[in-house]
Amino acid sequence: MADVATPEVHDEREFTIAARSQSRTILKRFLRHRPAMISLVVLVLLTLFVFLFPLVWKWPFTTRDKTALSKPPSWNHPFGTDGLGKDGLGRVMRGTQRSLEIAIITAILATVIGVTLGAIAGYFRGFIDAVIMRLTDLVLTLPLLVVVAVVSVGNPDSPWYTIPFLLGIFGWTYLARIVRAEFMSLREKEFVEAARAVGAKDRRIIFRHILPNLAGPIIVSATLTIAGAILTETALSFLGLGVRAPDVSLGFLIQDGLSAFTTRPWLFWFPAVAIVLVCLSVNFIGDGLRDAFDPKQNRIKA
Amino acid sequence: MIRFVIRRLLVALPLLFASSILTFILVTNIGVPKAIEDAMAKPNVQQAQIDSLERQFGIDKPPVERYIKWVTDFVKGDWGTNQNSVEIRPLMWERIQVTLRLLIAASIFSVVLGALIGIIGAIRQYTAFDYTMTFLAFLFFSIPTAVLAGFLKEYGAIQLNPWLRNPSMSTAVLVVLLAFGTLCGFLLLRNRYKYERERPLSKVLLGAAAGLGVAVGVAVIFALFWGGNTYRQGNPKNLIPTVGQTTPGFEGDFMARMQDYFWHMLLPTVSLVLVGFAGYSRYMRASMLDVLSSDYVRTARAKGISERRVTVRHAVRNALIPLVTVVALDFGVLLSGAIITETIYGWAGMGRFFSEALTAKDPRSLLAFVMVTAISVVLFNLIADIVYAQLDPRIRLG
Amino acid sequence: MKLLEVSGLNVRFPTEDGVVHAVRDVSFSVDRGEVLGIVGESGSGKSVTSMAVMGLLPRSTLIEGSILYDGKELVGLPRKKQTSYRGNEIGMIFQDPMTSLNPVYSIGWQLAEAVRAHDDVGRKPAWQRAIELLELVGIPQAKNRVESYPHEFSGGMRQRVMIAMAMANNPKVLIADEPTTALDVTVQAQILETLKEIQDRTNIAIILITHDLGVVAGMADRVMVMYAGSAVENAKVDDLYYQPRMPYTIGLLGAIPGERSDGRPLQQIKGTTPSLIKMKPGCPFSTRCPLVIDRCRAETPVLEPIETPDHLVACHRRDEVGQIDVRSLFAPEGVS
Repeated sequence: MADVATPEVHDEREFTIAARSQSRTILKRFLRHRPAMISLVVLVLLTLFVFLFPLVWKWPFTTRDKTALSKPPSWNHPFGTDGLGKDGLGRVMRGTQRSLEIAIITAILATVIGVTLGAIAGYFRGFIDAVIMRLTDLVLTLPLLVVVAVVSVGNPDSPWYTIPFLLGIFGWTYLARIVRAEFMSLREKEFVEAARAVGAKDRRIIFRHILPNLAGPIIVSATLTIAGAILTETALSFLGLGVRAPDVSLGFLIQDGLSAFTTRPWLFWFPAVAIVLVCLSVNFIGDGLRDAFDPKQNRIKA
Repeated sequence: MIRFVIRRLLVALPLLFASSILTFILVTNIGVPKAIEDAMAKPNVQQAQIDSLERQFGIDKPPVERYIKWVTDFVKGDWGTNQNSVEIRPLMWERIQVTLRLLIAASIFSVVLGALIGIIGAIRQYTAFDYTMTFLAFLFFSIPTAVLAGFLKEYGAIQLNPWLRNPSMSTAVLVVLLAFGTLCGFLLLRNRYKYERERPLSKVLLGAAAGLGVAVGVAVIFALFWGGNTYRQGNPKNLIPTVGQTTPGFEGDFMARMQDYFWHMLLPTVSLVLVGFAGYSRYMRASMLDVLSSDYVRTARAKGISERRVTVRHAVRNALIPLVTVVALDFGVLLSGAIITETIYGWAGMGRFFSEALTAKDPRSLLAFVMVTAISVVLFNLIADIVYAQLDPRIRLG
Repeated sequence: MKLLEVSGLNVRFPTEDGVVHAVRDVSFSVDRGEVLGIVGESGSGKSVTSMAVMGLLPRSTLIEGSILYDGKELVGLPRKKQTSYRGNEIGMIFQDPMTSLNPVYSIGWQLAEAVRAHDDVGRKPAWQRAIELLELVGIPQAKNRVESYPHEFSGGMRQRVMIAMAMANNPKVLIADEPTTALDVTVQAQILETLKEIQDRTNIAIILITHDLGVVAGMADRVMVMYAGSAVENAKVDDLYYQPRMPYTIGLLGAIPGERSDGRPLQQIKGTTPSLIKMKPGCPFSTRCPLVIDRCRAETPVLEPIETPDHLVACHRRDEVGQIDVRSLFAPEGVS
């Protein structure tokens, strides 16, 4: 019997080789998805713009230009001004910043919680699974908007990052279910048996063997959570519970602009277009990712 | 079946119980009702005043005691009074009825529309229709309900109403519109089949287009005659209203009142449907694509039955099953959307109930609201399971 | 004239990566009471061929050649006409019985649907016929089971239901695409028995598609071997098994464990099937053939008869193959 090299090392090498060529295929497929590529470019440009341009723009979002109250778009104020003379462009940029920050934090938090709970439930099954499932059911009985609204109203002075915190704490159920289902099916597969036969511990099996197979759905879900978080924050602003003045988010701006829609449409249009642009890009990217990881349709050309 | 329902109800009870605890914790955490805050902000405030306010809101006792009292009362049907000393249960009942109108109409239309578009998109994959509908779905998916509702309110009513009072259009504009419409119709209906076997749907699409035309015609007649006069007398300025769910103080016969409901519901429902159909259409399309490439559809074709029958009896029937669960589980999202829409259109429904309760920070109102929501969610899940079992014989329950 | 005559069939699929030439110039025929076995590995084009006969390929597929059923040309028929043959004159059963039946309808409903697709009868007579069909394929207590749902049946039973459905309108040709691959060995035998019985009773023609040479040996009268979309050998079953003339056929036969292998290591054909998109000229098997010469790579061999006129082979070296010891052709190195 020949010398058997350390199983762990063997294991590693085989795994990573397979993963590398697979990632390349996935990347290629993603790059071929035109709407996703266009959206990616748009989103990156937009993000760079709203984070970098304010550094050079002359109107910070809180400054009131007393000489230009409620003015439509002009060279001085490309997005117009509101009733207090605050610059539209500055506010939209700041609002986009905030909304993006909120969305990303929410996505990260919800993904981490959802994946962890789903993995534990799906892998260990039995009692732990039952407990986690009941917890999921419980969280699902209360709609996200309602819960976050109720908690927010009790803490009016809390900083903006409590919003993504809450959204993340209550918004992980969708991903948890998916991850759990996948874990339950994958753990029966032969490669898990093989890993266990070689002596791999549970934690290693979960993180190095099963989880990488879920990269696809997890990434896609995270992307969709980003879009969803922006929309939910907008809804919260409508109940007066989103980001509070003097800070702004896109939701806040829209709610503010809606009341003046008839007379000063520019206060509504610019933030509205910004939101739709961001969400649309994120959704297309998510679609592109989904196609890249799991191209089910055979594209037979005409 | 009955056993299944009973079993599920039994499981639901502990869940609702846990829900009530969580709700209570969340609501108690909001702190002090606004009325008390206001009172405390005044100078010369007396402790006795505060005490009596606390008794009024029921927050004078320790939490566990309050919880027990609340739960027992709630189950008995006594939901207390709100910040304005109005009894909560009858008030909520009123409000629910209003919201229910919107929810039911929006659900039906968004599911039907979404399913149809999804089915057609799957069958005509990669055609102009599919690409257009996919793009529209993504677009509407990315618009916050508030934005859409606001937009419709502005352009669908406020700007449209003056024109509706005196409709006039230059012939040039009319010609351009007609040409544009025909072009769109032609593009969308064009048979660029890339993967399809037969043409099962041209007739269906034409039928649908004709049906739409008939519906619009009926609506116009409806508006002009049947009760329309009374309605317009009550609303001389705005054919399409933007505030409220009915015209205040409206008197009229049945048809006139139906008109009233209809016109007030039009824009809010359209808002919700536009946002809702997008998700359903994508989901249905994916489900349909899955089914169309399945083995049993291949078998059905091999039997030599017509493509239309294969599509409807085999493919659609199976593709609808997962959609049912999605629709039922979406209730929470639908409710959130309704809350926002009601706020924008000034409806006196659950949305207003909720925002008033939030502003006043009234614990009893909020508790009642959240519990009712939780109960509805559980109820809809149960309904979804039952419907699912009816549709899929593999899941017949004992 | 034979009942089903296919000549020069070419099937091409346009895809994103290029045109897939899945079936290349394939010809065969089958008559009443005959069983034709089509053998080949995955990707050899055997399923696509049968789907072409049934008219089950997507609209964008390019089909050239001739498929004559009872003298009538099927290629180029408008779709509606094709439907009148499908399930009526030519029936087909598929590989995986677990997923081939619609789960939401009872099998009686599905059988009746097959009947009413081509026969204008009422529901009751169709239901009666469904029960008869179940009895035909040997399902016990047909009267009760006809109301059951597919998930209440085992794999073997479901495949029988599939056969019943294919026979619903008394077709003259039955195409069975890997009918036993997904079943246990014992059930396999039962299914094949059932097919034989049906043929005895109705004298239908059967096209049996499989990759399992053992199955073919027991059932077929003639065998056609396909490789990479082309037919490479076509002979009576005994001729094929005892006097194969195409190296690929020999390789397939050598891979069967059993008497022939005599305790020796099983032979394998090294390499993999070529891509159907970018085919090089010459014989498709040239990359893996132990007898390959330059001519094989340059010139595509034509399916032609050898000394016995009903034994056709597509190989430049068919005469040499007839003279060597076939057992040593693919022998692993170091074994005599």
